[in-house]
Amino acid sequence: MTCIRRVDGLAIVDGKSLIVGVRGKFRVLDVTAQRIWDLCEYPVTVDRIVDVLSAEYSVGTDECLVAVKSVLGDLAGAGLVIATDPSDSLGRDAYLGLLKRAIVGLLSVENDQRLGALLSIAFKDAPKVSGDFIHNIRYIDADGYEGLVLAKYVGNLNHSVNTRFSQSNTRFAHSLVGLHGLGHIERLAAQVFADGIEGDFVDAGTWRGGTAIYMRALQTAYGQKHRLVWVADSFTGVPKPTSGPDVAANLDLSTERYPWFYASLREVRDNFSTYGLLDNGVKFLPGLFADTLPVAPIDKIALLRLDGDLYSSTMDSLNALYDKVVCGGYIIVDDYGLAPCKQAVDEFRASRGITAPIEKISWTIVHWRKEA
Amino acid sequence: MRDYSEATPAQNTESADGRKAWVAPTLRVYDVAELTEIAFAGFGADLGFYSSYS
Repeated sequence: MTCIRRVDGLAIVDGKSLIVGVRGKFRVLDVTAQRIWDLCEYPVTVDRIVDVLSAEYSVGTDECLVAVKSVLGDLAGAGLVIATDPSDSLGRDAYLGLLKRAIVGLLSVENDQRLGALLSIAFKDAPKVSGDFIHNIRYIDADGYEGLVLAKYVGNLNHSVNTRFSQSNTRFAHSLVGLHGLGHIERLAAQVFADGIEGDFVDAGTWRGGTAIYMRALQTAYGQKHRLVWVADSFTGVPKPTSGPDVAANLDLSTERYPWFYASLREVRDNFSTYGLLDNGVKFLPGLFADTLPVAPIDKIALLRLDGDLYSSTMDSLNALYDKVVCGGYIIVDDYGLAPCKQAVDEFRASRGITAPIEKISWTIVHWRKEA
Repeated sequence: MRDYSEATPAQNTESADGRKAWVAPTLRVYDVAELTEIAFAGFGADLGFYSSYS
């Protein structure tokens, strides 16, 4: 039976709308269309989409089928969904789909709201709340809930529909790249595996470890555990800016200003263990990139993810590791939306004559594939 | 100070069997010119919120 699968490219949020696009074709999806898009994450039949939607919504299957076919027809015309064979591993799809949602906190969005409310009580003007309020906050602060879901979907730091308790996506998740950002890593890793590209995965700047955890999950789920995951981080927070571009931009993300950007080595290791993914294939490189990366015993890299925020961290990572990325390997830059990081990437690419096209997949994440 | 002690969930939009109200899906073609402006609107605005509890 023929299935449908979406084609992931760029995804951003505008208000309550999700905007998705590939190759210059973009569509704005309302809430129902977003649900259809979500259900096309892995190969799925039209019948399955209708089955789920008609269980969730008060709609008959005939009316639902017409609506779903209309949406899919439009998306297919824009190249945003394609016909595909059924998945060769429903179990793997289910595991990775659920894992992604756990890492970005989509299974417990209302807890972000609850803790936001309690933080507000602790630090602000102490609004009166009741037990019912805390219990039902998902529905009382429904806009906040929906906004957080979208923020966690695309990897925004907060959402564009500010409500009192639900603005920030930065406090409690194990990663801020969002479901879309993890799906992006998955897409590139799957390509690496399919093409037989040799090499380890590197997460340079891991925060609470969510992206590195997902890298190890991908290696495990695809039978690629012979590859290593290298996890590089200061594990003491983002260093204070010292380089010219970072100072000029006043890009101070240090623990002193943003304490929740700090995650210790202990915390990251424990997070790996919580997901059942800490083993000897995971190697930690604690310290500043300038100190650890040039001497790290890494041989070949198939997937290099840079998330150091700063100009200096980005340049240090590229200088130390780019030559170890094999042809056909990918370089992901998490912070291209930050001017100093973008400057480092652009300068490095220019100095090396790199012309491989940069693909934007969110407001800040980009990648390119290393060419011969 | 706002008082949330009597706050109740937003108006119930569920049907009798608990299913959510159906809103037929809609798509809109997006203008690429808008895209660049929004997609890279900037980290700075987001960072503004970071300090609000510190």
